[in-house]
Amino acid sequence: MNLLRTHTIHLFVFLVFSSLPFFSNSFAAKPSHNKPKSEPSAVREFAVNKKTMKLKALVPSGWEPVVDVMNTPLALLSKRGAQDLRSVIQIVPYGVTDSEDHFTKFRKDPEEYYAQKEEWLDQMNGEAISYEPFEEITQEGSTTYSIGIKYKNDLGQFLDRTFYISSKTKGLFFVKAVIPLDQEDDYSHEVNRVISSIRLEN
Amino acid sequence: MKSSCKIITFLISTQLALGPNLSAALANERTPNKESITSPAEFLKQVQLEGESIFGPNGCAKLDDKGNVSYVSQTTKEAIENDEDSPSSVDCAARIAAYAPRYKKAQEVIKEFEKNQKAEDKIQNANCPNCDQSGQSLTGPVDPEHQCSDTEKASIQKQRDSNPQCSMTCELKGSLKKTLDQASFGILGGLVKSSNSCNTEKAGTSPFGCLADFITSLFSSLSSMCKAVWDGMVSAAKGVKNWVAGWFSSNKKVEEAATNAHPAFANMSDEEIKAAQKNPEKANQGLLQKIGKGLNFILENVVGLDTPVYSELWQCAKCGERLGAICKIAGVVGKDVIKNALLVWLGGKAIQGITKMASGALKVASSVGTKMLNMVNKTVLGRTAIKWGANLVAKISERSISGFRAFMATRIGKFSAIAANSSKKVLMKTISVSSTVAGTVFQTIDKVMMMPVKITVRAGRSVASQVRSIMGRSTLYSRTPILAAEEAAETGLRSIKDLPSNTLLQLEVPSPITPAMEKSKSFLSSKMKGKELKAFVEDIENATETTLQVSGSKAIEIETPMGSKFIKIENPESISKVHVFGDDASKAILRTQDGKVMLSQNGKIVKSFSNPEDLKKLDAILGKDIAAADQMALQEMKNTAELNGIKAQEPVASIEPKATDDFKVTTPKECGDIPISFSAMAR
Repeated sequence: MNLLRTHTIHLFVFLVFSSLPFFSNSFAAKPSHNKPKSEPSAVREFAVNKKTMKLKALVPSGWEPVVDVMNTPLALLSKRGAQDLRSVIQIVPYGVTDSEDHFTKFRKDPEEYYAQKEEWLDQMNGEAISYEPFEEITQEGSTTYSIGIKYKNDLGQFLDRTFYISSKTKGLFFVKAVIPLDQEDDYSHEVNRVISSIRLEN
Repeated sequence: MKSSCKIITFLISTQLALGPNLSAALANERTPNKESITSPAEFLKQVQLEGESIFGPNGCAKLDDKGNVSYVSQTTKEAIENDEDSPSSVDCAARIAAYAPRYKKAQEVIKEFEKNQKAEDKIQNANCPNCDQSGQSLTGPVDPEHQCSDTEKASIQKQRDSNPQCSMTCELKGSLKKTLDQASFGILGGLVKSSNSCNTEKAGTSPFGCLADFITSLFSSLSSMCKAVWDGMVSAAKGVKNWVAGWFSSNKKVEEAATNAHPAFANMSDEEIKAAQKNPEKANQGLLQKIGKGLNFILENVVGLDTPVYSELWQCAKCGERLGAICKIAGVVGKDVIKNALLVWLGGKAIQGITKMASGALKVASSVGTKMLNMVNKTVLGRTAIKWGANLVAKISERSISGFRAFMATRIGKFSAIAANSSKKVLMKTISVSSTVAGTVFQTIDKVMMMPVKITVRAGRSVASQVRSIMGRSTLYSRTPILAAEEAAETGLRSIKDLPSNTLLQLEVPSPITPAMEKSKSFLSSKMKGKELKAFVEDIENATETTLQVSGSKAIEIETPMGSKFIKIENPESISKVHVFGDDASKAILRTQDGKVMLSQNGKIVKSFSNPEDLKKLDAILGKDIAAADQMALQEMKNTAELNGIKAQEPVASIEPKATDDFKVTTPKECGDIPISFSAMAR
């Protein structure tokens, strides 16, 4: 039934807006079932923020990078899943390294994060499924602080994780990874791989 | 596994703490078909019906203009005097007791709406000059008087089709161009550079200027993440003086911006990705176009949905009227609602909620009802009115309880001797003895009910759940929920050693309401006085230094959503801080000035710690949470002030960021040049 409704809406939108120019097929576009040729996973270099910064990040096989779109310096997009949606990793570099471990001195507030997310979910007609605990992992000279929430809203069901990466050599980053729950098993590991691959380049 | 345990603990404790009735209400609220926007109206309607059932022709009592109560049923009155414990005997009195605060609340809501209506009119007028100030324009997106013939319809359509300016996207571009100078949209800045048939100079200057306001809000929420992360850094650096709560909250902007951009990314087609990889700027323009389509979709559907009369009128709408309709709808359902619906739209889903809400609002607005509902038509449906309604009708919600609790942690200032009488008995006797006293009872209850409103106006929960919340609490004054709560499983405060980690959630052990606690509720005593909002606000800057004002008593009084609670203690004046758990304060951690820690349960000290080793352990477990609670308390007060139109001044940072040689960095150009020193951020 839901599927039918979605199709109907897509068709409706298509009919109404098909005369518009660029991007007119945005909502009519169905996921492509012809598998595009996937490049193997590889660490790639990106010039972001209108080429003011360089960073390196792993692009998993089958994922696509998009630079400087919607104010996101770098976004990595997976293939569409069963919910018709992609997993998205948004990477925002600070452009500096944390040479004195200052991140460790900030207070981390899981409660504030949960409250903020709950507030947002209320506005979005959504609700939390569960909270992901705050974690702090240090390895290879980088500390990654992470927290997350599983939620559902009109769009679908997601695992939404926020990371702050702090390193004396690799740089400071804000990273958000949102995975539709139907892709959780497939991509959780990929997200971790991407996280540990991110670094600034001079 | 660890996290799921936490969640279960949280859910269980929340369920029990709220009591079965409220939990059930909240559970119902989670059903998919909720319609939350009309809740302020619903609340007023409910109160009206409730009042009629008690004081109406078939009711059990009469209420005069002064608030005096007289009982219709002699049997009830006698029963109250003679048999206080019989459920039937207290029925009418209990119903009145439950109704009184709700009635007062309804009056307050209406009063506030009226008070704010002038300001609201002004705002609406600025946003939408074509909307008249009486509120009548809110009855629909198109003027109901604006009828036209078929010939006129055809002519109007021709005009619309031939005019490139008559498009939402064009209007958005114009509006965006106008606002670009005032706000930083980072990478999106190049958005309006491309030209098409739309003249952006001309657009955005229509009388429907609310679009400019709207687009600023929308694009600010998608604002440059690069800038947002830096803002977060700077504010975190300035947060030394405890204003900024900490890492995640200080970076709220980037979290929000990333979250808002997510749906559009998640729904990008393969073609869009390819195009974006080739030309990001063009992809950003595609975003704007999508938003324009989304707005068109809202207009088409809101107008067509369940409201044939508007569908007809829609065809008569000229270009400007169509564009202006979004302003009116924004006035009806709220700008943020539209914004969030559009974000979902960017994720490729239909805008269900918005059309539902708008049509619901239109229906309510066009219905003819009682005086109360007329009031609703004119005032409740305004944008600000909804906000006010939510805050006034709401008291404390499931999810803001932690905020309230934290707030209370710094608000422990009063003390009082514990009232020996059973409050329930006092209440019933008072009502049965004198109807004049009953008026006082009403006022007293009202004060109790009002207090949490003043201090917990945290927005965010749906109005529906907030209304249910208030209902759940008000019925605490009747018998049934109390009995039900007594049946809740009794779980003691776990020993500190058993706590698996240091989260606040896990300290939220269930807090059943016991008869003993019910007796200790002395809200009928004259000592229970509602604090004025002003007093709270004035305290903001000194909140972290708030100390107890204790003199000559053996108890600490804590204001809670369930009335005053007391903790018996030998030396209340030695207490420097109290942290309250459970919204009836059934659990608390007390700290003394000399560093001792005591745990209190149901008003009694159950454990004390003075051994330095124990204290160390306690600090490790509780330290972070308690500090975080203080921050939330500050935030709560700030929210309160802002929501009440009082500007809360952010304390000046004690340490200003300044450049140092070893760590001088400048943010990228996209972010603006913000010199910042990392060493200044050290706490």
